[in-house]
Amino acid sequence: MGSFDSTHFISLLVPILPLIGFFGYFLYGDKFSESKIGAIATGWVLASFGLSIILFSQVATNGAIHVNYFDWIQAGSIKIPFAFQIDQLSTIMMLLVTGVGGLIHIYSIGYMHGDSGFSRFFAYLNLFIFFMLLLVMANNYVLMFAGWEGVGLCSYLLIGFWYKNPEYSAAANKAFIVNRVGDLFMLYGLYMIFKYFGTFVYTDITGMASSIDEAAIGIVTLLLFAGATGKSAQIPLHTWLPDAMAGPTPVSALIHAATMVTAGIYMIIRSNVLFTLAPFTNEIIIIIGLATTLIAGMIALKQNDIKKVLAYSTVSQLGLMFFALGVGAYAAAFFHLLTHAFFKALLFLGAGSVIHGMHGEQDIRKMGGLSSKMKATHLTFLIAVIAIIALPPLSGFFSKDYILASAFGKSPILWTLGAASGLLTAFYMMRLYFLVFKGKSRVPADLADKVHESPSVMLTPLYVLAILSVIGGFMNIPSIFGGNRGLESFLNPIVSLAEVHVDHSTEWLLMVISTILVLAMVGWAFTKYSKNNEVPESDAALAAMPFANILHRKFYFDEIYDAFFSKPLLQFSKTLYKWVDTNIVDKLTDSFGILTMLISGQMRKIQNGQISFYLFAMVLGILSILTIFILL
Amino acid sequence: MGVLLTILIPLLSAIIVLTAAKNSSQKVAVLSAVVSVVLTGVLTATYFASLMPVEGVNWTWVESMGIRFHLEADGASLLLLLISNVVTLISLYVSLGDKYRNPQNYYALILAMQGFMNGVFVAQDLVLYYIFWELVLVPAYFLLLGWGKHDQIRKVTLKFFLYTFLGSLLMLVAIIWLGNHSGGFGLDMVSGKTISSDIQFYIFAAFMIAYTIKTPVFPFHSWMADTYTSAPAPVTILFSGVMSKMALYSIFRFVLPIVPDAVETYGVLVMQLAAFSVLYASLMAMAQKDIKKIFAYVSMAHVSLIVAALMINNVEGVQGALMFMAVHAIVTSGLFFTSHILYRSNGTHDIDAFGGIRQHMPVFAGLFMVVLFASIGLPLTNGFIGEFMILTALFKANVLALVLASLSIVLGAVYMLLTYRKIMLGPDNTSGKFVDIQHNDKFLFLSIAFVIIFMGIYSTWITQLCDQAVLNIFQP
Repeated sequence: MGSFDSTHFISLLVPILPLIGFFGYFLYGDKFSESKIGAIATGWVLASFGLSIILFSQVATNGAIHVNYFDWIQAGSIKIPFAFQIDQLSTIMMLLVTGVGGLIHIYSIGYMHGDSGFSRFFAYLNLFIFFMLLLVMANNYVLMFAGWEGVGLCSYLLIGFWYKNPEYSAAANKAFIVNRVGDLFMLYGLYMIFKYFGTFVYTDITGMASSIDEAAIGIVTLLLFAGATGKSAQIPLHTWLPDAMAGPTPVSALIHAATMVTAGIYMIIRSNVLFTLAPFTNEIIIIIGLATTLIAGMIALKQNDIKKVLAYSTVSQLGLMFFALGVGAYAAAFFHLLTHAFFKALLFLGAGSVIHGMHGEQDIRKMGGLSSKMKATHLTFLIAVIAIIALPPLSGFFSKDYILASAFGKSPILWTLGAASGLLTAFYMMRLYFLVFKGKSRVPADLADKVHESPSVMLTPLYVLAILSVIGGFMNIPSIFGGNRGLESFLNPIVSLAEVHVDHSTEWLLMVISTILVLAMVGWAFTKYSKNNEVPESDAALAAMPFANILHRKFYFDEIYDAFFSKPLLQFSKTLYKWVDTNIVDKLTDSFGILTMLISGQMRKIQNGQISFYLFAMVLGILSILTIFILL
Repeated sequence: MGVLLTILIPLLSAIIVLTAAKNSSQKVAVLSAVVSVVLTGVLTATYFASLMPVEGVNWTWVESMGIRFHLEADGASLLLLLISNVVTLISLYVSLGDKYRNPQNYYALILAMQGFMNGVFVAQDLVLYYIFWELVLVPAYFLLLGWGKHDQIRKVTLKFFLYTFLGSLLMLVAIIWLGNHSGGFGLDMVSGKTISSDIQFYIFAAFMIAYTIKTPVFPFHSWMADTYTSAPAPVTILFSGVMSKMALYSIFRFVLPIVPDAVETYGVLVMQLAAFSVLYASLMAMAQKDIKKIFAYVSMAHVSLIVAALMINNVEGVQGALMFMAVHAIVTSGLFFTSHILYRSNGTHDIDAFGGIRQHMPVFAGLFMVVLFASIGLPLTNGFIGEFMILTALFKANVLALVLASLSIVLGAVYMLLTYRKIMLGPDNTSGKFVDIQHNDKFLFLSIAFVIIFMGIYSTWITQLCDQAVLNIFQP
């Protein structure tokens, strides 16, 4: 190591550049023009992307980079460095965050055009990129947690970006608080890690894992997973994500689809050494992951807000990734994380383009036939849809197929349930696609003429993401297609290669079956929504349909939480304040004072100035003292 | 000598303020506070240069009883001096925007209080310490009585005075016993003496009742909410920022080294009570409609956590406690400054009288948010550092206490974000009399925000400052 270590410096610059962008807002946020601010903010992120490429190539050739900057927290045996570990896993995440992040910055220049909070929006986005990079670059759990809560903060700020709308700020609060519930468990996990390992640094923990009590590891992993359910919107902490759609659509694409919500998956892959030692936790993860992917998929069938459909789709896809983690297919989960980032970001940006073109309308019942008016948006959206419903050879096919093959290796039942989730996805995505772009136009007359395609600054990111959605699968071609699983081999230093016990003929069979079923779903949705021009029921009609209404009302999670947690908690605190604090604690304290005053008031009367009374009292006193002495 | 000056400068300035012209009292006070901060900074630098406690004075006082006028500042004392002097400066800075009746008296009392509090933090003799401790009550009493806003300000003041005074008397009894037992009141003589375990219990109890009242910890907190709410904001900042630290510091300085066996045996009970107090205060905060009262309970939750941390009785816990004292001083100043800015704009602390004022006060909105997230312990703010150290140590010490204390991580987010939302967000439903902060206010608030983030990233200087003082307790 020389006196000036360039890697040291570059590694620090990667997260710092977007942070400078955030602070720059205070200097020039209200001085520069929109285009200048947008360009500068995007520039920071793209510069980080460039530096990430340099680091990536270094990691690819020389292996992981460890850089230590200073002690962040230090007390007795607690020692938490501010240090980065840039290895195969983090470097890909860095490329994803800055790459997709950069594209979404570009898109936002068009999408946020004319908004009074334009520069503030970019400041928040820059800050988000900083925290997300901190999350993936940290070399220990506590620094990662700093990024973890930091992205939560940015999520809060961006969901409530249009702060004058009380519903939006309520959604922002909900997102932060539900995440905090998860974070509390995560913190318990961290405290416990310290108790058993005496350190928070990944590499130290990895080395010690096999010598630690298995029960302890079981609880640690459960707690970490509970933390992940918050950030990655898994049941029972998923309810914040659909509400988070209150934020501007680029935010939904970046934070609530491509990056932040995948932090839970990243964290578990990062801790895979611990999770491999915790079979019980893995079973819980499988159950939660499957339940989430299926329930969210069902809810998505009956949503009519374009962003809500995509939100539940995200929850469902994240559930699928957790499912993969649970069966031990870490590389498959990560693979799907990446491809999902491409096509889901594309879907959200496409939806944003539609909303933009529709002047804010989000109800798919008021769309239809948009393909003629928004050709570029339509084409890219269609590519994303094909990718997410996993038709070959688009990216989603490879990643989802890998998850299903791994599941089959565990048990055919798991494969069936995973494939069922895929069928739900196929149906609700095609329903969305047909209702928005195909069939007869249902656009209200006053809006019909004004519908327009988005400007090229918004379309360019769509093209790039569309290309990635198409070719993204090729980074991990399985041997069945003559590939060598490039991504998985690259990750090998962190995640050991999965052993998939499925022979090629079975794998072919499974692939063909699932693809045929998906195509059947496509056909069904086509007949229903495109050929027959069916329109989803109005909300009033839905209310009369018992089962559909349960889906439409999202299985009443919000109502249940409201009735069992939110309201009772507030009520409890008020009752406690009124009865215990005011009427008992305070009254008791005061009564001591009052008692003293009463007694002293009585005592004062004794001093009445009559010698005879004093004499009497004195004699009485002597007599009583004597009596006591005699009796004792 | 420098240590003595930390007491003398504020006291002499108080006299100058009393005799100076009415309109210059404010300037003299601020100037004096700046000098105190600089002086403490120099003392701290001296400490870091030698890593030896900064000598003060050591005069014989009452020879027959072994009472000495002995002042000295080790790292922990210096941290508390920094807290005391910085918070006093903040308090005076907050006062800049207001007009006070009898400004000479007002500023003289604040400076006197500062001087006595500094005395508490550097006294090395128990009697001397006790005298400073009680002297603090005098300016505190008059500040509350003379400038407090409450329908029954006399009742509030009396309750505050009697309650904390009662606790102090118990402490006095313990101090007298200790002095008799050790043949002198010097801290070096008293600590490390063998004391039978039942006597240790009584001394522990006497001290801890005094300190948990002053902190305050449930169920001894009923003086707190009214006192903090009715005092003028600068005085509230002094009370919660420094006065509560007197108790916390005293637990560290006296209870841990003098009665170690009792701490070992009964500490866990106090720890659990304090942890419960964190939860209780958080629930109380949730039920309030008065912004200042919400912040008063936030402060109570934080200081209760520090008591729990001290009772962990190991290096990590105590270091966490000292760290969180510094954190709390800044954060609570920021919170009460926030409520004061709101009060200035609207003449009330009632949360329902606000709403949607973010658009009129964007700078204030941003800075308020920094303080808010520090108070709920977001990483990279200082709030996280102290809390994380404490809870990590608490998990190892006592899981029940940890669970009780840590629920505030969620509850804090609930009520603080709700408070912020009700005050700042949503449609504008006020008559639009809100103007963004400017000049002095802006400078002060920016400085507070800066310190919050600076300490959140670079915190180890505080642990290093206190390191030797903490080790002295556990490895005498």
